[in-house]
Amino acid sequence: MGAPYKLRELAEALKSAFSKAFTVKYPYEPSPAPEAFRGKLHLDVEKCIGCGACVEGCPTGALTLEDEEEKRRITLSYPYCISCGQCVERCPVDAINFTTEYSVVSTRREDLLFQLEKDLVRCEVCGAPVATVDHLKWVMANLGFLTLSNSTLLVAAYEISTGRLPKKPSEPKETIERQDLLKILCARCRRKAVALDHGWRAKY
Amino acid sequence: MEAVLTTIGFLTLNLLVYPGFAFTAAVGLFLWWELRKLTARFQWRVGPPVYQTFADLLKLLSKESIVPAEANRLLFVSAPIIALSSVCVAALLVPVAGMVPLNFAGDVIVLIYLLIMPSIMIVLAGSASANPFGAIGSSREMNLAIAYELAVVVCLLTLCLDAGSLHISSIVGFNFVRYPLAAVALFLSIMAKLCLNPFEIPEAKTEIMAGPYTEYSGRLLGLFKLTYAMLLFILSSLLVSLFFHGPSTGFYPLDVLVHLAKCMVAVFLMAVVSAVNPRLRIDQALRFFWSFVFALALFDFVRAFIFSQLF
Amino acid sequence: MPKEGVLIPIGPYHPAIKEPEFFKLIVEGENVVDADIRIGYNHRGIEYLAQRMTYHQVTFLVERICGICSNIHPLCYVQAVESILNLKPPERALYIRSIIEELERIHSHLLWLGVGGHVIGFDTLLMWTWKLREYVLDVFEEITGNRQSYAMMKIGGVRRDIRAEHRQKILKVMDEVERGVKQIAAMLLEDPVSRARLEGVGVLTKEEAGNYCVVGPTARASGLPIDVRKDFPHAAYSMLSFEVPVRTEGDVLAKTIVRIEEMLQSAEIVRQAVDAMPGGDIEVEFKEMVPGEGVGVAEAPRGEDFHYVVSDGTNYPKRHKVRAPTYMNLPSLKPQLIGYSLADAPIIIASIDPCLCCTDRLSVVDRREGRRKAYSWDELVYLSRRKTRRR
Repeated sequence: MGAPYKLRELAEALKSAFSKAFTVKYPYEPSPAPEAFRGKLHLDVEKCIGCGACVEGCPTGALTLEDEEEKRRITLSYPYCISCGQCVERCPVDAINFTTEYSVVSTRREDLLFQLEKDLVRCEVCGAPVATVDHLKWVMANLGFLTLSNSTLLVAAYEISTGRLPKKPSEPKETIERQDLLKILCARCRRKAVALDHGWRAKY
Repeated sequence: MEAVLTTIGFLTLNLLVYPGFAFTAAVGLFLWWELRKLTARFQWRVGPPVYQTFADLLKLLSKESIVPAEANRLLFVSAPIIALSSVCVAALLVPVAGMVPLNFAGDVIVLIYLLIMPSIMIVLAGSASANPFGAIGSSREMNLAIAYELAVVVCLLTLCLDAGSLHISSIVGFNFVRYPLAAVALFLSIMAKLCLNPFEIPEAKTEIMAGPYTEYSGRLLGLFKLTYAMLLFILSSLLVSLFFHGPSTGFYPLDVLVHLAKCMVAVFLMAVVSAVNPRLRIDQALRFFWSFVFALALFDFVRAFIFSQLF
Repeated sequence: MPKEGVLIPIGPYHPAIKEPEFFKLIVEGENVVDADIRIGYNHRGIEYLAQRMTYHQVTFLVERICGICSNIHPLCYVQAVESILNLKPPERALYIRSIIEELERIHSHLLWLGVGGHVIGFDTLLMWTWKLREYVLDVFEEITGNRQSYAMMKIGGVRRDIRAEHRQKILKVMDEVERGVKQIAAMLLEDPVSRARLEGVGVLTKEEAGNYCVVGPTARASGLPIDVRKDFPHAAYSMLSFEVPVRTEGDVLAKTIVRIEEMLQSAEIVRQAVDAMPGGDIEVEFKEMVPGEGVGVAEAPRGEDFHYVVSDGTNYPKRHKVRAPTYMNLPSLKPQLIGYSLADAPIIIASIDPCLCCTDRLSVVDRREGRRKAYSWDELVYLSRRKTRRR
């Protein structure tokens, strides 16, 4: 039944039988990924400024951000990560990157999470989070002399240079006064303070 | 009295150890591994390690088997046991390197019946399991058995006619030279009996799950798998003994090794054929066996008949 | 519902179809006398989820609609959003989109060919085609960084460039694909045993194909010359020359031949595109969303894929509707199945290359009150089941 056709397949079968197997015994033998592979994410704790741009872009919630008393915690949960690369694309300081490693298998739950903590600066009036210390430093470095145009940045720069930042957050105040302009303020409080300073009726 | 007891003792030993249960099972599992390994190598894969079939069997035998509530319990449980015991007895009738432990007139007929038993048991098992896939698988197994069994019988009878005897030990020899077509017919029938690829119809897993075995699990499935492994050895051994049995070296263990090597070659051929063929439909398989394979067997049978009349 | 004969369930979980879907076959002996197709076992609420994500995030959500055509859904989606924004991606991005789409078609058809072989019990064919497919996946891994779910599409362009060093690799693999596909095609089509399994099986006539509105290779095998790449050229297809293979027999063999010829055409398109690709940017930026509605179509390996997006100017789509090709092709299985043997059923089902996870979606927007309602899992299951029952 159709011998000549079968011979070609027989040839391929025998060729396969006498050459090295195409498959590899994966967990026992390495199966390396190419350079451009989108594998397990690597978060560089030194480079990270804790801005949270990656968290905003993450479609699956693999990256989450929690603000605690004086710390900002960014958690990368490998099981949720789909390696889409939104965080890599968005990171302003190139702190999060793909590796060519792809196995996230582990028997320990802690291995599936990566956490980093950054010192958080809070508004000295209302207590809302402003940014991390590293984030403020990065903004200052990018603004250069223009840092002087923003009172919050100016105060923060002074406090960082004198070693008073990071510090414990102060008790939130009920009302805002004019002299609060020279404190570290969140965007909302700063608008109020500036409005007070200019004698406008504070709408906010 | 003592002589009778000795005979019974030897027969029990034959049945349980060599060439019966233990030997056949071990060699059968090894040949099954060869089949799987070769298939894998033809497909650019690595294939299982040599202990894989043994490990599979041990795993199955150590697990609980579940009998479906609506199944016919008696048939469902007894089918694999009967299938296994019939191949154990068949192992005594198939010559290994020319030696047959059970030797009596008409043993060829008994062997034919014993070799049909596993198929019948699979048919019964499938229909007893109260599963539509099992029912379809049973009907396919039945059709397939009808298709190939005739060719098997004609092949064996050809040799019997040639030797003028119904003793299986008298038809052992290198008969391939004289009856090559019967050898091909027997080879294809054996592939169908073993459900190998072009004829993997009763357990076509992409169509009807596992066919008759769909509801089987644990030990009972393990018994079926063991039956299959033993059948693999018995049938390839039968093919080798009837058509490719060479002269003896005078040292029996060496003869056995040569025999096993020939069985491995037979399994290699089966692996090649099954690797390069897609599965037929049951009606196509029926047509193939009744027209092509049966014609091959019949041709040699008629030749044997004419020879036996002339000389 | 069962008239006479035995009811054979194929699915919801069955080894021949890797996804949960339910085909009720009524058989008499081995012959299929009636068939009932029920979908809805793989519902994940993608459209509803899309309304709760930002435009950039939805790209990765729709990529997960299907694992095999994981480029075509994002492509359709970004085209729909671009049509809202009236955004023209740079030409280089269009070419890259076409290359990725064609590579994906090759790997998807190879996958199908392997599964088809597996379904007719030709496991060696499965292994050999998937070995060939592995080369295509290696190209994907090098260009996009993943074997599946390439994450290449972006509103306004593509995310990664095809660099000069990729060109040689792509051309080499295309040669390998062409050689391999021809070898496998000869194996499958000249072999009497496999031909016996494919020829004259599961015939879908041109008239029935028109009535069931089938798309893609299923339609082209029944003599309907429809192809989005020719009819409504997207990406760079208006700048590339290629042919659309059409057969008139409508059986499984015709569908196989159409797919094999398409693979060869795709290899040709990729070669052309790699050479004709102009330089320049790979994306354009856009500032903000505008209200409006947009439509994106593309030719998925299985047929026409369609995405419809409504924007109200916020960061979140107001409505996102997906119509995957299998949704159109699946009902046409009924006339294809009836009258053939049970042994033919899996290959007939496989012949339309059903991508069932593409098909099952449900989104609920309460139009009367004009607000979205978050349905709990149980409610969704109930709705999903009700939908299933209605069918």
